[in-house]
Amino acid sequence: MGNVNEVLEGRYSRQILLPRIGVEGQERLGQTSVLVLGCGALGSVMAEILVLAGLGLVRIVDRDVVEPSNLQRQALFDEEDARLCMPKAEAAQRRLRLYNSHVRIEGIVADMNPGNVARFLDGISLVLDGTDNVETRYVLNDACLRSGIPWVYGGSVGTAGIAMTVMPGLGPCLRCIFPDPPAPGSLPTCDTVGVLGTAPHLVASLQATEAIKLALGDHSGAGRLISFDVWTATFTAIDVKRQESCVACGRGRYEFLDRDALSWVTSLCGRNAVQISPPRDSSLDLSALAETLAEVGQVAFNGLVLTATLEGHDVVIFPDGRLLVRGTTDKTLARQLAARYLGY
Amino acid sequence: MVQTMKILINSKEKSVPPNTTVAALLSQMEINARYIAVELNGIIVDGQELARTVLQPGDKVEIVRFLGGG
Repeated sequence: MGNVNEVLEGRYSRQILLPRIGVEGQERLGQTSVLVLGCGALGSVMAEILVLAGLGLVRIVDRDVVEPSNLQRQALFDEEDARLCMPKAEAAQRRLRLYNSHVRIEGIVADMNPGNVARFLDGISLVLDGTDNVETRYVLNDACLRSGIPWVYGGSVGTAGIAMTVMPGLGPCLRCIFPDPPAPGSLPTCDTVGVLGTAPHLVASLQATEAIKLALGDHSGAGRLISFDVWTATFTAIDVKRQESCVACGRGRYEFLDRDALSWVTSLCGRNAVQISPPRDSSLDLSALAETLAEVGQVAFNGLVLTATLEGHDVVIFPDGRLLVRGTTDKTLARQLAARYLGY
Repeated sequence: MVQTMKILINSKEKSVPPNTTVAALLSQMEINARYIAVELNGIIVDGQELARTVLQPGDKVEIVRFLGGG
């Protein structure tokens, strides 16, 4: 065993040199199990950093496959992965096992929802947010508060980024800052306004740093909300306070876990269509949405419903927030379109 | 002479008329209040209170946008 330890101390020698880590800290990293939820631009960078840094377990959950449009910023994947439509969790697992054979790596191809989130959190010390939509983050926030597991929020669109550590019982949670999720379709997404690779890379670096700090018992990042724009090179850090009135961490009501996960996605029997219901009562501004979507696809708005061709798929969007994808029974595809274009 | 008062927005000084509400400030800055959070002197302002919350001289306002991409 001494031999193995010598090899590992050599491998990790540069970070062991850091007084904040040392041999003891390295051992703690090796005993830490991390869930990376979502393996897009944020998740792939975070997973890579943590596998290289020698954490004990890196579990990666993602519902997507690699597409050519990912390759501009997601360096864990290559052209072959895109050609084969490889599930990201699988492609990441294969690649990362080549990077570091001393780390346990679990790639799980799944769509996290209130019904299955507990399974992914099992045995996990902390969670890194690499998700691509609003709703999943609120589910994650509730699930982590309920289980007392710290998580690190991260988001990036355009040239902007944001990150904050949520430490249950110690600092504010996501709902202390954003009490209610932004309305579906109201947020710009990477698929509607684009994203520069450096912005999510920087967010992911900050999140991975927080993960390493949390693994070492350093909770100083809790509630420190970092936001920036890489293009204008402006950086802000705010110390957010816990809100006593917060529904989730203040009153302990985990509303996003109460939902019936199955109600999100419905195959419409006999119609060769899949419907995504909005995660809560919504009312969409369809004329505004039509303008946004016109940038990325063919759109028609008849005053009642919006019809559009997005990525070759015919969709119908209703004022109550429902999204109907026609000509498919593929629920994952429908979820992807909802996340990309409506942000839920 | 038009009176103004100074406040700090994201650590930058800005002059606004007295009795400016947070909602009016956002409107003036052309910021859609639907997907941002406003922190006023360390406390998050409830979305429904934005139009009722009147800024005072020296107030520290932080405006944070929710970013959903990843």
